Amino acid sequence: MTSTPQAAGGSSLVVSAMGVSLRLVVDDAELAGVLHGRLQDITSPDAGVPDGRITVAGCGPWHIASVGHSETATTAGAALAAALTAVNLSFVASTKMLAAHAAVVSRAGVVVALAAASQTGKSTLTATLVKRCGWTYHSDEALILPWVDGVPHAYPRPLSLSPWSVEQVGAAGVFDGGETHVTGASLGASSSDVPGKVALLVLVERDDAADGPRIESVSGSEGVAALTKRSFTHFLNPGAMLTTYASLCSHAEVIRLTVGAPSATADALHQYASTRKPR
Amino acid sequence: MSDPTVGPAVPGVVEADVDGEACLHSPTSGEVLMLNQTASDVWFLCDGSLTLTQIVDRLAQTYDVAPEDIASDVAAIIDQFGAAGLLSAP
Repeated sequence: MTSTPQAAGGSSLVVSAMGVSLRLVVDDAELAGVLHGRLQDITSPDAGVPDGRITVAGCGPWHIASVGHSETATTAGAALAAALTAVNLSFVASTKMLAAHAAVVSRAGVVVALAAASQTGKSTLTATLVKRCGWTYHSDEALILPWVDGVPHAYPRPLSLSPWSVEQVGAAGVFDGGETHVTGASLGASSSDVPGKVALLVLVERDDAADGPRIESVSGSEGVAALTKRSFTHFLNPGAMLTTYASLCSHAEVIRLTVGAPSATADALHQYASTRKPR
Repeated sequence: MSDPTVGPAVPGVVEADVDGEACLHSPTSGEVLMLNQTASDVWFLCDGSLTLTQIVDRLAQTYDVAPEDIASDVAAIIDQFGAAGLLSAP
């Protein structure tokens, strides 16, 4: 972790992901320490001119400001949540890479992308795969590609888990009053670059009537549709997005995973992926 | 009755074939379109070298059906491609 003491007693650090670097300046020394701990996996050497800046001014209330967004938090937990959100939104708004909402994890070199709508249980499944099954954590936010079907970029920001998810996973982290922010390291995951191209694209779905996890093969075009729907930088080059996702879904296996209980779902996917080969 | 050739795709349309199904990006609407198998089969024949009648005949042979059984459906699909700005005018 690289931090620089500031005159006001706080600190600053540079975080990098998605080809974007941001300087985070925090007045409150205690909050700065917590943020540094949560962001340790994306902290970069303090060199060069960052692409953006996020400030957390004050020691209560806290004023969080980034390009295009500012808010005031009245509790330390809310300030933590707002600062982490500002970091994430700044990355998402600034990246020039092809990015789609999805988690990325790997096991034995097999890279798996989990694409899901919100409230489907993606983060809980991701955390369970890492904690319970020993997978490597690369991202819980985005599948980030360099506009070709290449090796994804890692974005190991902390996972934000609900109290229910924390209990299911058995995770430990920093509670902000609503969610608990859990680092990959605290789940036992080594933080590393993604080891290869996506070999398995998992379309994660929830069916409350299902009595357990279910895995089924789906067409590559369903995979393209799912990634296209969840892409947030497609407008930069829609044609390149299409050819990139089409190539990925032609070469990777695409499956639908209907989730059940987190541990059973993780076990099912773990077993399935164990028979696959890296790309 | 005239039977002009159908297509080709307008310049700038990006096409990807994923397991035999066509995924298209329309430069005019900015939309990405995922075609089902039947529409994909029609799309891949709209290359500017075949007339509607020839396309219907090809598909009838592929599906092992009578041309008159599918002619109106194929014409409707091609009309949708045109309305979506994907095909050059004849």
